[in-house]
Amino acid sequence: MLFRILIALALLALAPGAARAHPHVFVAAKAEVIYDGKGNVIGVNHVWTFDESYSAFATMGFPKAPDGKLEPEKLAELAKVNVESLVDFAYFTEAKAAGRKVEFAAPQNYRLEHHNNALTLFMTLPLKRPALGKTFSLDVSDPTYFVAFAFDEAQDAVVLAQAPTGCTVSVRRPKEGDLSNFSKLSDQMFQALTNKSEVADAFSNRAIIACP
Amino acid sequence: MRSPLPIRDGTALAFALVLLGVMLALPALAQPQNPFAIGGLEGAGGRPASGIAAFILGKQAEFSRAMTAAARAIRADWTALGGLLGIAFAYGVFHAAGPGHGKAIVASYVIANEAQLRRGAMIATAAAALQGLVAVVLVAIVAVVLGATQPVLTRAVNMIEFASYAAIAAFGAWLLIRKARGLRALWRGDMGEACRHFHMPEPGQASRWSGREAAAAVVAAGLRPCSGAILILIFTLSQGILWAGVLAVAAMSAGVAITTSAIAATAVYFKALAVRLAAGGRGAGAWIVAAFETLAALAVLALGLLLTFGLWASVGGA
Repeated sequence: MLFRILIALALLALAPGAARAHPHVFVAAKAEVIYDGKGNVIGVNHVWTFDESYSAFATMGFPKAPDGKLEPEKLAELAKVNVESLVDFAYFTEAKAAGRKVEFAAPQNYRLEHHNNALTLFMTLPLKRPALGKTFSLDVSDPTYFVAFAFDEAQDAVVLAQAPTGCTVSVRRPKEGDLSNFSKLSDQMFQALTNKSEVADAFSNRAIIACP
Repeated sequence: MRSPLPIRDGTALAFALVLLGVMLALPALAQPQNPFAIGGLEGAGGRPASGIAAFILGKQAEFSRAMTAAARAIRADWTALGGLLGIAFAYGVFHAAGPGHGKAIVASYVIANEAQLRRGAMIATAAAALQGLVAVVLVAIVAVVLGATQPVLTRAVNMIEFASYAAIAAFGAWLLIRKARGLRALWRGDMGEACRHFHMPEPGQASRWSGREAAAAVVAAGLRPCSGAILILIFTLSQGILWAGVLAVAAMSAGVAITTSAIAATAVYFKALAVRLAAGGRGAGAWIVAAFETLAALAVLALGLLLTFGLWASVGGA
């Protein structure tokens, strides 16, 4: 087994096209898809909670208010920097209405909050033009895979606002291996090697909304 | 015909080819820096292409969560340290299998120079140790002494990254010039001269061990600190247990050393096997060794240039 792992590691290192980026930042995402009350989607509210390591990194050296919390002005500055640089990455958001990609305008109402060692970014992404939301898919992910996005495990990870009655939401989170079962690791690894489509699926982080 | 430049024709051609390659690849590399980047080139990659890479990347979230949880537990009970070190070590082993961490440099160096397993492993281990040390010193200066904010740390990482990529390119160029000289000697049939530049697998004759060359390879491969190490240091610092973070980085470096050593070992075996399979006569064997070593040197140079220009394009000249 050790030998197999060594070979696998070596193969990986020499494999052309192996990813150059690897995730160091982990985001638990929540989203609210906003309808206009007439069946059209007009925007998305994002709530992204960063892992504690990245949160400590992003807020290092921040002055603290007397109550022990981080200075709100500093957080506001950081939120602005984050949101402004997100445009280059299309807000890590890809949405399709009836299979056609929709375009987003600049984020509004953005802010950062810091609770229990974790930073949370709130922002509203308005659609440039309202789109009929009968079937609407929302992907939140970083194509470069430096940031690993996954919808929050909570039931209300993706919710709807002012949507027509009878809409359903199904959420697909990226699959993760189970570390508690370490001995199965190399077997899983070889399964992964031989089944590419399954791996591609394992990375998608998507919500699909279907309305009657 | 004399070359107008004071370098060998072969070297000039190689440089031209590499520069052409860089120019062709540059538009693809000219990507903005990820909004949540720790340092320069991160976020300029792509979705994991191969199955194993995808699988290992999928494990990272879990490792990261386990590590922060273990670090938090230490605050209440220092005996949780064992758990943190175990996770950090495993993280090092698997994380190093991802991109970066000087694997390509170590493997190419081993192919270009060393024929001995032990030396390849030593270089890989020293590079991993240097990588951990750079992260600790960097965080100690920027975060502990200066109390600076994240953009300052990211700029410092970018600068070190830039220096490390330039070092890789310089190292590759130097290797390549030596190999080009060797090729020329081989062409003239001067085996004595050729053997000073290449490492023929002569039974019972150990190749020359140059400490200076090895040190250059260690610096080129290990100068850039790993983002994972920086993150655990900053997190433990924020929790007031930086000492645990430093120990975790040491454990992580040990894990990285194992993976890069495995890759160096594979490179040694690969070279030996390829040479044995391909070598018909003694003369042919020499040419094949020469070709391997020259290609490996070229690969180091190309990688160094790509990374340097890629970082330049990504962060606007650091």
